[in-house]
Amino acid sequence: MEPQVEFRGRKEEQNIARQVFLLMLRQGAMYELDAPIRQSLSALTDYFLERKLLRREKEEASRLIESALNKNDHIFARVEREGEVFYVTSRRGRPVAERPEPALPPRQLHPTPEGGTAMPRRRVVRRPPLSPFWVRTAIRQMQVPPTVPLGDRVVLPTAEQIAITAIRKAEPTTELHLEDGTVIDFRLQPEEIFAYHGQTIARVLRDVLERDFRVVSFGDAWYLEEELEHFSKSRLAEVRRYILEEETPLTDMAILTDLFLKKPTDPDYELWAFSLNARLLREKKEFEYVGVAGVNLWAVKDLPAIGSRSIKAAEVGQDYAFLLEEGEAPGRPEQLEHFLTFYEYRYGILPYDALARSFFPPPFLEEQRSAYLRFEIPQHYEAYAVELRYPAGNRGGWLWGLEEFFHSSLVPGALITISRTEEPNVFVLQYLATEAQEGRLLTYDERRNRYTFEDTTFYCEVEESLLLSEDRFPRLRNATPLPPALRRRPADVVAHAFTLVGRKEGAGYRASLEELYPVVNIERPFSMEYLRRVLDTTDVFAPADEEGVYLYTPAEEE
Amino acid sequence: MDASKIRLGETGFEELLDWLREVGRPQSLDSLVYQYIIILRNKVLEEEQV
Repeated sequence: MEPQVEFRGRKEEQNIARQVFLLMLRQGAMYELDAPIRQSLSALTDYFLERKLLRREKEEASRLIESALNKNDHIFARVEREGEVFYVTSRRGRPVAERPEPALPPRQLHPTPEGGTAMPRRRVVRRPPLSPFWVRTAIRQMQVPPTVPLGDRVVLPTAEQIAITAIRKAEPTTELHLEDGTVIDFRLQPEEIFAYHGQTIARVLRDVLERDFRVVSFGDAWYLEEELEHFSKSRLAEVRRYILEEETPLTDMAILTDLFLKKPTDPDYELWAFSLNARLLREKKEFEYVGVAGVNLWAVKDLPAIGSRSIKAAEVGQDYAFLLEEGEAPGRPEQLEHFLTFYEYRYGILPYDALARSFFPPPFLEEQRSAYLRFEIPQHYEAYAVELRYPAGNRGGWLWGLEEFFHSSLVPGALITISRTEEPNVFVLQYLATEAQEGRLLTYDERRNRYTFEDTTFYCEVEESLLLSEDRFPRLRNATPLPPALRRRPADVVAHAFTLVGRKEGAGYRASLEELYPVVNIERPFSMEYLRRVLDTTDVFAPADEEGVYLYTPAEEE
Repeated sequence: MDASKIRLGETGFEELLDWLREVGRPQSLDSLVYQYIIILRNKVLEEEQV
């Protein structure tokens, strides 16, 4: 039997080295066996912290990972490049050096690949000797059907095939054939089997673990029910009271430290945290998970709601349903830039669109409804509690809780930027401050239930085309909001916008996308893509001869 | 053990739970899968060596 990968160091260091190795195996699943698989220390640190595999400060976590990998230098090679530390291993679990770019085309390097540290892994398949005894025995045992229908050609196996089959039957096989055609050869090293078939085995194992009442899971972690710490009903009631007293969702760490006097440095802390999280997750009537990977936050029913009093969550979810049809954004942006529309400004909302999905943390648990985030505004030394509502069913996702900030500091059309911080649930929101600017801008007069223009002084950078000023859109003065039934139909909202900003042309109206976009976004949210889709797919709209300009011809009333 | 007799998710599952108990802390699915592969592989190769 060939040796397996052994991890050295203290138990915690072995565990870290194993996790890193498994991660790099996945990364290099399609690499050749001796090809270098590289990861930077900083990326590994982020991975451990984001997945909450280590509960330490970033620097300390980085030192611990470095120490663990250095102790396993029989697996990982340490490389420093431009001040950054990298670790390199291979699918064999050996510390391979990174290969320089080949100086000659591959064909000329063949058959001895440069930098190859071992012979190719292809095993020689030994064909069994064709003993005449086996051939004769096998042929004698053949069951030939007494009658063969005419026209059906029966292909009989050759003597060699029969002999091989006969010999194979005598030997135990090392290959497992799965129903989907996958063949797992257990002669391969564990890390090779993991790289090739890890996902298939994980699917089966996950199903079995989920069905087994002896096993409990929280997020990606699994443990035995019998080994967990027990929390009585009265202790859970205490947790609930504590969250209500603090009037905000609390982390598992805060609950364990303050109520159970457990410190993250305690040797059994991880087990306590897992036990608490797994237990609270079961108490769905009382507790709701609102954390993200790396920060487990728990809320209870009667906490003060985050969001807007002027609009219901169900309505916002329906308004953003169109986001479900949008594709994925490429990559993961470092920063999110967004121009506020009137709808977003009015209700303190941001869309959870494709870009936001790639920027904000995804749900950590299946069926997670929302996440509790904190937005810090360094320009005002303020912080706001923001709720991220994940898409569910036929409702889109959004973030809300910024109504007060938007109304006090920004106007529709303002550019905001959001950046991540070291804490996965904390973000920094900034805007570009300017000298005082004046304008008569659109506002909603709740008392009169009308849109009006008011003299406004604002101090933020805006996109002029999105600014709803009286000069550009005089017909919006004293306009009334659309009745709910019309507002729910996107095509009706767009048609209404044509009548407010379009130029009369015969029986219809003519307007550009640039004019329509800020106005349709007064009543309900539209992305530019969605607006185009509505214009292109509704009969009453048609593209004009000019690029980006559309015509609206109202349907004749019957 | 003959690999063809393995029932994925059943064969070696109790040994996997024993290992989890021995480790003494929650484990990720990746860690469990890797350990499960080691358990199954040992079963198959031990038989072959005999």
